[in-house]
Amino acid sequence: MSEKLTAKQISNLQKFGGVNPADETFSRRDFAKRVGATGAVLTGAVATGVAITDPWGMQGVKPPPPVKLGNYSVRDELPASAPSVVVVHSNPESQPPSESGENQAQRMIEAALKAMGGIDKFIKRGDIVVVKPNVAFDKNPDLAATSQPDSVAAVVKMCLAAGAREVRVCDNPINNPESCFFKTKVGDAALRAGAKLILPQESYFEDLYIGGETITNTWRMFYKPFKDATKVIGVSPVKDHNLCKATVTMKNWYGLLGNPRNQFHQNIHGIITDFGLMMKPTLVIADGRKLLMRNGPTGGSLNDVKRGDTMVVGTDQVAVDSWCVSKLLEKQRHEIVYLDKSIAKGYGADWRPQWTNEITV
Amino acid sequence: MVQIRRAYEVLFLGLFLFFLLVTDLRYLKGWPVSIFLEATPLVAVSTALTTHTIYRNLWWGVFILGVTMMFGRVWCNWMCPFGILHHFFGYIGNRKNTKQLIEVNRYRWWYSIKYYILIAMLVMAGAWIIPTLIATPGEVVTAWNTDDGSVATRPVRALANGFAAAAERYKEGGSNLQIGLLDPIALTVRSMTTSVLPVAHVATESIYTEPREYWYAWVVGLIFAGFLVANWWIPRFFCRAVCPLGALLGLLSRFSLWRIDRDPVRCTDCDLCLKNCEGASDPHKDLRKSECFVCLNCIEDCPHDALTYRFLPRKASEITWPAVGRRQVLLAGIFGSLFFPMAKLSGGVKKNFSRYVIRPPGSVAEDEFLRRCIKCDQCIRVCPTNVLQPALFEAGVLGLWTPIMISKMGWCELNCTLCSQVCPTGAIREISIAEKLGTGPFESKGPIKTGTAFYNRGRCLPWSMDVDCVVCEEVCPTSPKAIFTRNIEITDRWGKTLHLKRPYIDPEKCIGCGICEHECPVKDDPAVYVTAIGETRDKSRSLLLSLVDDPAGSQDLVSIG
Amino acid sequence: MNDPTSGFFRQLQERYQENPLVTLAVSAALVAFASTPIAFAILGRMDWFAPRRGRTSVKPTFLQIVTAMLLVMSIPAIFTAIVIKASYFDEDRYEFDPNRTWTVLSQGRGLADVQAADKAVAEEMKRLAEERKNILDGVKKLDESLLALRVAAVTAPQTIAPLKDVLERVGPLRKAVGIDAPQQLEDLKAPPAEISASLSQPVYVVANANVPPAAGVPTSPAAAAAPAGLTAAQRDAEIGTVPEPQKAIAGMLPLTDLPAGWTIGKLGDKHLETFNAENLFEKIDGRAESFIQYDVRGMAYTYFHPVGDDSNELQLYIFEMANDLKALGKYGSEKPEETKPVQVGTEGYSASGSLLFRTGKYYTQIVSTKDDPKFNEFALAIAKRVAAAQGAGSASEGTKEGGESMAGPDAIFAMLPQGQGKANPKYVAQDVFGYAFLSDVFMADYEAGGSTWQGFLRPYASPEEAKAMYDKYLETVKADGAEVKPETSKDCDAMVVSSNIGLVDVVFLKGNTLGGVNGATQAKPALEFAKAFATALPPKTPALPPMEKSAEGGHE
Repeated sequence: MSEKLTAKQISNLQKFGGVNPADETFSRRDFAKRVGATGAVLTGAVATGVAITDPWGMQGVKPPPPVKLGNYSVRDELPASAPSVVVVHSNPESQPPSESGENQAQRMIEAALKAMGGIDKFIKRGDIVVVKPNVAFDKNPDLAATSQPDSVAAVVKMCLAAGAREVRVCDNPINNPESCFFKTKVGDAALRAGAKLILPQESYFEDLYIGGETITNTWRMFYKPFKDATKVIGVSPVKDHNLCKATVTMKNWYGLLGNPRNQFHQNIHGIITDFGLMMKPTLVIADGRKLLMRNGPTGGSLNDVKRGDTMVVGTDQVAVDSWCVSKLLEKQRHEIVYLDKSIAKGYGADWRPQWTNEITV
Repeated sequence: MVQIRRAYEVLFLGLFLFFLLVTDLRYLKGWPVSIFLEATPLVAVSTALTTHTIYRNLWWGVFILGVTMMFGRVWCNWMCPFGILHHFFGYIGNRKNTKQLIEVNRYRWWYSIKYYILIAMLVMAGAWIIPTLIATPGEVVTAWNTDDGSVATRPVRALANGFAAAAERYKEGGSNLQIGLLDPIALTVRSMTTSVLPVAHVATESIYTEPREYWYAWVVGLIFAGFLVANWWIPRFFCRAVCPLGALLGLLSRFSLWRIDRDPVRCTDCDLCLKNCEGASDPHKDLRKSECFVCLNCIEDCPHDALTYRFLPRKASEITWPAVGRRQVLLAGIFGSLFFPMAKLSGGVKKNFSRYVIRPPGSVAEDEFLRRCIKCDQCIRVCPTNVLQPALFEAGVLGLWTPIMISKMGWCELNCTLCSQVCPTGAIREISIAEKLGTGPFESKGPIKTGTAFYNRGRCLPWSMDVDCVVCEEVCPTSPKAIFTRNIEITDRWGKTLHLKRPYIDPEKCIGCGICEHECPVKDDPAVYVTAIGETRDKSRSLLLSLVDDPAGSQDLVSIG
Repeated sequence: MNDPTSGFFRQLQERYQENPLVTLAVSAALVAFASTPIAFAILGRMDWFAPRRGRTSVKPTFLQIVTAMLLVMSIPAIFTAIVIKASYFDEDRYEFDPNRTWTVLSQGRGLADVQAADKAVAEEMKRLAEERKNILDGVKKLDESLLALRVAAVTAPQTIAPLKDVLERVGPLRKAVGIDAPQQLEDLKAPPAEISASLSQPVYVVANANVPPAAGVPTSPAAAAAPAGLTAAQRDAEIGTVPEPQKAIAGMLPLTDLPAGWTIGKLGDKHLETFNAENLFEKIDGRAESFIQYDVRGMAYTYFHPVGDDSNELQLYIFEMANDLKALGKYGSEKPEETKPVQVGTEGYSASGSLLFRTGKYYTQIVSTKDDPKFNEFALAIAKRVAAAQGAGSASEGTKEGGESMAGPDAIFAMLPQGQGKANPKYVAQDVFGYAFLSDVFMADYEAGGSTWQGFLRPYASPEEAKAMYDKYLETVKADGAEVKPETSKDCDAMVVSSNIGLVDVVFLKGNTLGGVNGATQAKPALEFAKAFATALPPKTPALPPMEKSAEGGHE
């Protein structure tokens, strides 16, 4: 305070007891604390910046790391002589008149699995099994546009009886999912049989790598139920389809596709062929007890439905489809282009009598 | 010092206006025209929140953060062009006496509104944290189970990886960027681009080669003018009460090592320091550190030399934190976290996305786009054809003033990627012409498509009026042309035989540039029009299976080589 | 005197001429930048920096002066930095040069290191290899489709000149991808008369046409030196390498004791090749599927050419089908309208130099590149030897399976009524007349009184089966909207006339046989024919061989 102070300033100085607080210099400790705080925050900001820098904006277009669906097939563990397709006919005369559909389905599937080496070859204790029915539409099961609830229930019960830890039933239908599972009665049947029902949720979808003909790279798939599953069983109806001519076990995996999946109708046989690459199921079951012969895939009239009294169980979905289209749907085998494509690409073999067992129960 | 500050104000405002003028095909060259946009730390911070990355030159924002943490909000009165404009408008509107000047520059409680605006916007930008935190436990368990590294650090890794996995999953769709509405640079660039420059062009005919029109530019212009004129009543109204960038810098200037300090002995409480105080930071009492713009006017105005700009003055003589109420902060946070999902779920963004939302080439997928675009409309400024327009509510309320292509106004020039060059945040990723055209290294990926053209045959001359036309085919720029014709022979209404060419679209070749729509002679409602479907930036908006994806797309090909 | 200075000024001058405004601005900024310290130094001494603060004048500290100086210097510095930055930029953002070529490494900054670059190059090589393969396949397909054009050229001589042109132009393409021209194409360079002559030859693209030219030369000196095929030891050694199921057909190939002047072609280090149903496509890609439809079991292949003449050859294919019926079906399906019958095997014909025949379950093709007596004679000799070997083979099997009630296809053909057109009986394995349920039908074309039709016959294992099929037929035609009229005839169990879109079908059921007339243009002659046909048929026709049933199922 070398300069001359005014009266006001002098009274100010006296108020502070003769010491100007503004003349205080900061202590060493104060310096360390404040400069340290600034330095720390600044260093933090710069470090974060360096860590997340993206000079070319590629993070925004970077695809997520590709995930592939597992291989759920147990074909390699079966004896080579085991048939890849078992056709079970039900003899309507020998069927007890009061037998429930579920009982019948169970009897037929059990017979089929016995012919392939027994259920314990397929479902082991502690397995998590995904059962994928086709409930694409909210229709009564008698219209045969969707999987039969009794066969789904039978499969679920068999898996649980064989020691499966959990059985999940899931599908991403075309119509509203709740409505589909309710009106096809599949949801109720599955729950009563002891399965867990998984309806599609946005976060259940993930990009899966396929690398096939139509999905050359990845596509959003209903992946959550399959993520930690150990076995997958496809339970599908046998029905006519306006575009690809037949919907059997391979077309059933269409229910895993996320939107906008309607584009795949631009190459329907291509996408079904890709399913052969994508999905290696433990078992596929084509429920041919009710056949939708025309006006598929939706059906809608009992006149379109024919009684088939047959169930086809197999480890090779191509062979199962091949058998069903030619024997049950009475279609020209080569009309079903996806079968030829799948065979040419080695995703499965055509149906051959020597690998097929035909039994009647 | 005040003279030096004025020199800086002139320099930075001049640079800003210069860059604004050279953001044009003719002059652009290598001028770093987006540097002001890239330097606002608010953009860096909020895009880091929404995208978890810092794009290209947004690093300048971190630099400004550093400056602020050392010297306080020097940005606001030395560099920010909008701040400088406000300063200037306040100056020319100043017709008051000293007493009044001192009164209008006192701090008001409602100057803290800007902090609530900032909080609401940052909460919107960081909304992904909520689902992420919910999903984190599950992901941590998964990370723990799949981890087989060393035992000691396993919990730390599991926690970090689990959180990272959850964050990655909910980043998409989990947040949104709205700071651009009020970020001063974005606001200024947008207003200048869409309203000031077109008006200036009408007067001088010196800015464009042909006059520009912008969709609902008057709204933008009115807001801009309103903020500027407000200075005549409340000096620096925008900077003091609204600016979210100022709020962010105010929070960070808490760390600043230098600040204005008042000598309580020398001070005679004359309040003259308030006369020219820009920030309303109360230099006559304990300084409100978060409000001070470091304009240094008060030092100059003090008759007793009681104010100095000092390194580490006493803590006791400052108000370190901005005056914000906890309840108000909570309210702002709740507003942000509720408004974002409500706005997003109001349609127009995902399921019911509008066919008019045709984004410029190089744009990233819509969700990512809305997480990056700061609505600065720099792309609109540089677009040579006037096709880029500020959207109103076409892209939903979240997409207000984001760029869309309105093909009646112009068309996307084939050999032009200027919008992608100037985009500061990567909403339009920097692409080369080779990538846009799908040639050279991008051959396997194919061209970038912004939409697909369709015919409205009822309005098309050769289709419904027996008149030869096919201008659309002529102007179609792709090779081979996406518009092709079929020759037909018909009998006209008088019985004469007529040969006509009727146009068709090849959806595989069409890139959605819109020149057909622009050139269609049926001007008011063109017979050929472009809609957004089929754009390559978003798989869920693809049209043709054959184009939906390509294995080459998974390669990390970068555009510029 | 001072070179650097004058050089600097010259450079400045050049820059000024290039861009006067920017050069002036930068120069001014640089001058300002450089002069600021001097100005501060001078002004500082003149007490200019002691501004009035209120009522007092304060002299600034040294630090304040330096800070102010740096701040002032920053202004020209920032300006210069931005101007200099602006003069460097990526030209690519303004224009696209269509002449620019791209290397793999110019794919951008994604290539972080040498490994990544190496990987990118490898990927690109892989892609190019795939492209090359596509082009190769494309050229091969082009060759195949050109053959059709060649055939057309016979009747339209004016197409020959442009066709020649096309072939000339495919030449460089072929050379670029290293693919041989198919041998028969060279004839096309000859004058039109010769072309038409050569066109009557059967044309097959040589299956291994994609070997590079050097490897395409078929004869090695050793093979040429061998006088007449292999020795018996060589033959046994070669057959020894053949997989078990194909040993029998491989044995039928006449490899030893060839007629003088002929030698056997070499296939790599062997002289014969065998295939089964799964890998048949390797040899006859594209046609394999048609054989698999007829249940092919295996194929043996070799080829011959005159000694010293590599450009012509005679290829021998022996196909083993599942049974006689399948062999007949395949044989019939490939048989052209106009043929020259040849007495070899059960049935055979020659067409433009090639000789095709069937014996039992074997179907043999001898394909010649040249139609002249020498080749024909050799083909016949080979055919007889093959037929003899096949006759022995099928006879031994025939006794094994032989049942009295089982008829060969020939016996069934014999049941079709005599008449014009009967000369060309056909066997159709599936989708007969477009009916999915109707298979394994024997038929022949007939003509009378300006009306044409097909008479057909299908014996079933039992009358019940035949009845079921008959009912199914009725149901189908009714569903198709045909007009159905039952007809009585004492010689059959049921008969029906259905007419639809102007064509008349007559179908009758007799015992285990379904027979009738299909596609008649007039009702009356068709009905008469059908009645006569039914009367002539025995009450029970022999059923088809039993294995046919399962074999057919395998492909439905």
